[in-house]
Amino acid sequence: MKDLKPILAFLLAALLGIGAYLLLRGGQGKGGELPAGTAPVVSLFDPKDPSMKVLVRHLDLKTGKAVFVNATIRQSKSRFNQMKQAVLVYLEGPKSGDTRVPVPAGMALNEMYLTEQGTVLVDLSVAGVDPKGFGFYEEVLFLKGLIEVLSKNFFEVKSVRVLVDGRDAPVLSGHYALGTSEN
Amino acid sequence: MKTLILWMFPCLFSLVGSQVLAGPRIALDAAHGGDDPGVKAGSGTEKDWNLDFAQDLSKALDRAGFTPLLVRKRDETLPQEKRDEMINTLQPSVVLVLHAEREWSGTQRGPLLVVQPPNRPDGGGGDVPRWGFVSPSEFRSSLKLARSLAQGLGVGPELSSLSDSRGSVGEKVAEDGRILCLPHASLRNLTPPSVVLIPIFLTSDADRKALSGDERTAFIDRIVQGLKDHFQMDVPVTPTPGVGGVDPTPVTQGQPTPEPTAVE
Repeated sequence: MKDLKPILAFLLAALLGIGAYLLLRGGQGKGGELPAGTAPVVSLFDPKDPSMKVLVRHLDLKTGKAVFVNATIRQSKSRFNQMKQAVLVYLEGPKSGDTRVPVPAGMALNEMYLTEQGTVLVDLSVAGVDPKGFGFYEEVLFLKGLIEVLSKNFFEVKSVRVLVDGRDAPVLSGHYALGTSEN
Repeated sequence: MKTLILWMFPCLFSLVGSQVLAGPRIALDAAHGGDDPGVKAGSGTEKDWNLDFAQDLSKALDRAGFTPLLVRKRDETLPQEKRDEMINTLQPSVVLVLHAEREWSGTQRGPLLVVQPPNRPDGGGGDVPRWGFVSPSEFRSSLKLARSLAQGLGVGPELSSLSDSRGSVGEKVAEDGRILCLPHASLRNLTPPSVVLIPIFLTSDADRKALSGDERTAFIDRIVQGLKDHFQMDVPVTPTPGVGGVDPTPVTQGQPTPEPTAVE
């Protein structure tokens, strides 16, 4: 029995070590890397955060005029998270009915960044957008709405810059020349 | 020898004179083409509409005494860089880039005109390397062209409220303004005064109806008149009071002298 004690102690330590490793590794994929498209989701707000209203540009489909509609987001402690919620509310807004957001189907948000100078960099994905269904005028309305959802609701936003898939692209979707930091 | 010189003189004159009297060169760029169809609405495709309209406009400009230069003459793929190079090499007096548009509600109508805004004076934000340089004077030239066309088309000279603030400072802005001062990929590298002309929204039934048949011809004639105003062609001459007989007729470049009319 005395001879088995060291062996048992070693086995116990090994089991504890493997268990600790598995616990710390959690739900990660092979090699400890995240599978593509499954970045860790960080909640933009706490469910207990109070709600707040933001103005979002819509297009009245009967008149073609711009109308501003109140949308609800959560007043998270991070101002940046509030901005991101506002942009997502704009991008994911209604695309049919009496009014719609001037956002083409397939437009998605990759990421957003806020600089100390008050410039918001909005990194968009246009891979899902059909260029035959998104002309210059529609690009203008879309960008106007994007800039306004940030500048009208958040005083610290001084300018908005649009990136396409992380790059300073020459155009948004074929017509509107980017490289602007227009507010 | 004297006889030879006398015979040569008219030939030389016609050679030089034809260049001197040639009308202003108008580059017409029918946007998209080939693999790039542009926007689509219903059965209409932008590239086909642009080419068709450019060809009709070219004929009208030619009749009016201008020298139209078509950048795209058939359904072919022309990258933007190649178009820019062709246009800048041709050194036209002005450039009209023709686009057809679409819009979600179907209520938005043409015509619209787009001019490239000037860069910020300080070139802030690194705009210059990304865009190329648009000086305030280049912007003013393009805006003047846009306003002449707007006047010919019977729309106001105000800038749209959608315009970039770099160009709208000090300008009259209206919600229904027809001139958009916004950065357009078709304009960014062009050196002559340039305007994107959007005659039609393919999503508008009213526009499609208005730009067919005789009304289309009238619309094209209004564009030609706008260009004439821009180049101050067909400037009316006030007849001298007390001189009867023949009404003094304005001499225009490239046009035959019209029949004299009696003074009323």
